[in-house]
Order: sequence, then structure tokens, then C-alpha cells
Amino acid sequence: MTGRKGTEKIITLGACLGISLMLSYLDSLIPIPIGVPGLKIGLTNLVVILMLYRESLADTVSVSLVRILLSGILFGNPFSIIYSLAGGLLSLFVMFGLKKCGLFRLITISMAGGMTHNLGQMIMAVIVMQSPGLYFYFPVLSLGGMAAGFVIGITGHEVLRRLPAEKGVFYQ
Amino acid sequence: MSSNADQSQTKDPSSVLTDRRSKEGFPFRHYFHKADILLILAMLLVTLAFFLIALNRSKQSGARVRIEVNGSTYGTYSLREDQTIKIPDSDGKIMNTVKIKDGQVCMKDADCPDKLCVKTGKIHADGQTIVCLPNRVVVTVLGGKKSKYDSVAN
Repeated sequence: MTGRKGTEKIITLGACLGISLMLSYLDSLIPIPIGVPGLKIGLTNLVVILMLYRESLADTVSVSLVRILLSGILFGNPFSIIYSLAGGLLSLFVMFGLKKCGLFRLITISMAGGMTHNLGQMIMAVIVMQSPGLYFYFPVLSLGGMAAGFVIGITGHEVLRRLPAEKGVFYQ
Repeated sequence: MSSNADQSQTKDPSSVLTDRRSKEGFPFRHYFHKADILLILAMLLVTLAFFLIALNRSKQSGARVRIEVNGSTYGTYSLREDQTIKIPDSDGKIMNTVKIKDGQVCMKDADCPDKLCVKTGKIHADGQTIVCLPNRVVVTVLGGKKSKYDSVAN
């Protein structure tokens, strides 16, 4: 990505942020009835995955952070920011690590991301709510995260295949 | 079919994601390789392990003992674990001693004048209570339902 102009980068990151905010909004419309406030499917994983493959880690992290803050202010509450932060950052770094080691394909990485996203949220919920009993929910959350990650992985895979190579995610 | 990794080294960058040879054979081959399936299996195993642990825990914690002091919950304990719970009064002096042994709970000692609670003896069934009225201590056996809290002090 050397030699990319600043404007191009701003446009790309802005588009990523916009799309992930829209997905965040969709996410907030779909509640998970499991008694832990702030738990979500994690549709924004799609943008994170695409950015991991096409942008630098720093850009991905910064877009994620801004997205979590903005969506927390717009659609959620301070608690949902904390949960999203834990889930989002954990899954981001897990996915980055899995991608870096080069053994796994996008869908698997996305599934692991979905699982760790829920794991991070659950760990934070246990810390915040002081109730270790919440880990009873982990099997459900883990399977749900993997299912969501599977769908998002297929979507991301097909999107990525159709994007022009060697360019920003959305900008040619 | 095993050298899919070589394929991804060719000039087409999108082949990092897509194996051209996947058209034939296993339909999801370009989505999953061996390592992927292993990792997914590992994740499923972890999930299963957690599920079994949770299942086991909820079975063991079938019967619980709740101790209330002055109307508020002092603590919740498993009926399966032998233990002795000493309840201090507001001055810190032990006023009641609750003993859990062999799936039964009794008031072992109390500093109340009538000692009715101690005379109640051992209880174990869902809903049974030992009441020490002077000290305002209520011991209740809770059956079946799993408790959301493991052990809550004060």
C-alpha cells in the first residue's frame, strides 16, 4: 500500500467506518435474548475481516475503535461500549494472529473471530456484573458466534474475491 | 489435491483465497483446508467442554442452602460440599453455626436462649427451613433450580 495518496486513504477508511456503523446499527436492532445486555451478533466483523486482508493493522484497529465509540454513543450506552470494546478488540487481534500465521482461510478466521467476539463480551460481562455464573452461556454464545462468523466469512470471501487486487478495499 | 498451498503462491493474488482446482471434488475445498477443519474442530471441542462443565455444575448444584440474616441473603452454599458456616452478629461474635454434611444441613450451634433452631435437626429437602428467630437467621434448602450466583457474601 505504499504510495497511496492521503486522500485515497481517508476515503477508504471513511467508507469502512460508514459501512461498519451501518452494520452496527443493524446489529443493535437484533437483540440476543440471553440476559446479558450489549451482546450482539457482530456483523461489523465483515468490515474488520475485509480491512484485515486489505488494509494495515493500525488502520483496522483505529476504524474499529472509532466505530465502537460512535455506535456506542449513537445506538447504545456506556456499557455496550465496554462490551463491544472487549469483544471487538479480542476478536480483531485473534483474527490478525490467525491470518498472520498463514495456515487458515478466511472463513475459519471469521468463525474464530465470531467466537472470540462473544468470548470477549462474556469475559467483560463477568467482570462488570461480578457473576461468574454467566459462563453457563458460553456454549450457546460460542456456537452462535461461529455460525455468524461462518456466514460473514462466506460473504467476506466472495466480496474479497470480486474486489480488484492491490487496491484499497472500496476504492479503485 | 493435497498441494493446495502451492497453488496460492501463483501470480493471481486472489488465489490466496480461491483454489482454482476446487471445481472438482469436495465442494467446499476452496473455503476450507485441513488446518481450517482442525481449528474448527478444536473450537467445537472447547465449546463442548464448556457445555459439559456447565451441565455438570448445574447438576451438582441442584440442591443449595441459602442463609438469610436479618432478611437479606447472607450466602448461598452447595449442599454437596461439607462445610461449616459461622455467622457473626453485629459485634463480630459468632452467634450461629450452620453445618452442611452428607447432603444435609443443620444448625450446629446458636447463642439464642431457646435453641429451637438447633433442635430442628437436619434438613435436606427442597423448601425446608431452619429458623432462629431471636437471631433472625433463616436457613433454607433450595432444590433443583440452578442458582445464578455461586456464593455471595453479604
